[in-house]
Amino acid sequence: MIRFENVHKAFDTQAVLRDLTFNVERGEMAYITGPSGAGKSTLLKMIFLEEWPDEGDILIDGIHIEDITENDVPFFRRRIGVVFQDFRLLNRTVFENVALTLRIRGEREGYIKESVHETLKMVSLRHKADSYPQYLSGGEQQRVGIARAIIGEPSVLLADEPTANLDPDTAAGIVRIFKEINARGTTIIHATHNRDLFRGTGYRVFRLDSGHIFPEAGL
Amino acid sequence: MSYALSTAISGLWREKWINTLCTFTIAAGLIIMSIALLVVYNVHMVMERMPDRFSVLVFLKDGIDKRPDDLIRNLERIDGVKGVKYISSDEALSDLKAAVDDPDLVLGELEKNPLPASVELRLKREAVNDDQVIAIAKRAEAFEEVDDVHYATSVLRVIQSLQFYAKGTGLALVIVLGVAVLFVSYSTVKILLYRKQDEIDTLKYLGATKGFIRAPFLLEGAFMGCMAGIMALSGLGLIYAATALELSSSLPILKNMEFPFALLLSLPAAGLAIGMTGAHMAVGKIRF
Repeated sequence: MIRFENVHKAFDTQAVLRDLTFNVERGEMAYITGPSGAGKSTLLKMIFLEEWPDEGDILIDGIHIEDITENDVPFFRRRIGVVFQDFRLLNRTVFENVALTLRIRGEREGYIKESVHETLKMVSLRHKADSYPQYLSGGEQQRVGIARAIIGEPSVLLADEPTANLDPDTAAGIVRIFKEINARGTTIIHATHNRDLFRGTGYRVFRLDSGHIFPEAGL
Repeated sequence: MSYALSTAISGLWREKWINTLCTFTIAAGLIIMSIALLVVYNVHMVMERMPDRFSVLVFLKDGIDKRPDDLIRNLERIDGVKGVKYISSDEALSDLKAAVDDPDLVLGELEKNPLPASVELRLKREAVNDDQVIAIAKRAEAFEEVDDVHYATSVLRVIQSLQFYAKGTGLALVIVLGVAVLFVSYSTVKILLYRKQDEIDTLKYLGATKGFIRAPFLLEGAFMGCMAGIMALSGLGLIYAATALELSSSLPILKNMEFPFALLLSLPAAGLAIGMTGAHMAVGKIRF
């Protein structure tokens, strides 16, 4: 599903990722861990084409990213859902934030309405559809972010430190939602420095350290 | 499109103060630009009419009282001459009497008519320039019946300087002001863009195309530009009422001022184009 082969990435002369080779299977949930500055976000950014590798090859859902032109980028990104640490919600209602993903795709209003309510129900936020993000708790805001990321039924969901700003109980709730999404067949890559989130889960874990990647078991 | 429209409307409302300020600034720029355009237009109209009023006077030698048909035919044939008019010495005197306030006091003592007969040459529009007027005057002077040739050198110079400076300066002013108005629109949208950079990034990550991201900004720019155009049109209407109608009694030159309403009606469209262009430039090249 996602394969990195000898990927190298540097900013100026500072190498962030060195000779990275790993793969994540379709329908798998994998964790990327490592200390701050280890390159977790850069790795995820290369999957949703915010950054491009200096060397090496990345294959996503059967597509070599070097074959993607600039005009193809928006359409490619629609295959990928992204959940951010800082939520990145717009100053609009919860409904509008979640609907945005479908509006970008030019979906019909009837379908959007039905789909948004269904997705908000999945993250237990249907009753907050008309609320604005600033009146929601951190956990609720992150659930809106997740709803926005999954409403387009992406084949891959990337989560970049989605629980970093949340208390442990709320973080556990977010992880539960990810498990449900994964159970529906969505491939998930979850970057976190919090080892408690994957300890004992059995999911594959990749540790980034000094630009190199090391496989671990999430036991 | 409905998304772009609703986003543009909410954006205009959310940033209403800066948008209002921007609209007023564009309107002020359009008013100044239109005034410069009016000056250029009126100078152009004056220039259009001036050659028609320009003539070369060919004075005949004393003693020629009869209409010199041969000379008139020869003068008509000179390159650049559109038409000729013979003025006998009697006609010249009666014209002079008509022109002075008290002809008996000024001209009553004259024993005989001192004015010579003359031929007035009307020139073709393209011939009203320094070189050709001198050439025509020289050819006319060469005929033996001709005593002297006069033309209004100062009028000729005014025509030439108007052609050379006023039109060019006016147009340069219009262009400079046009660029300034464009810059105002550009700057405002650029400020809005900085404020919305996070939103734009989020849209990009969600798979929005460049057109989807750009559309609300273009609509906002178009709306502000169009409103500014309407305001400028109203402002110019007031200025016209105050100048051409009210002040023309004390400043007669304003009586002849022309106000091209049809041209000025295009101001909202011009404002719309400027607003959209400014917004387009401000959004710039969206990179993924």
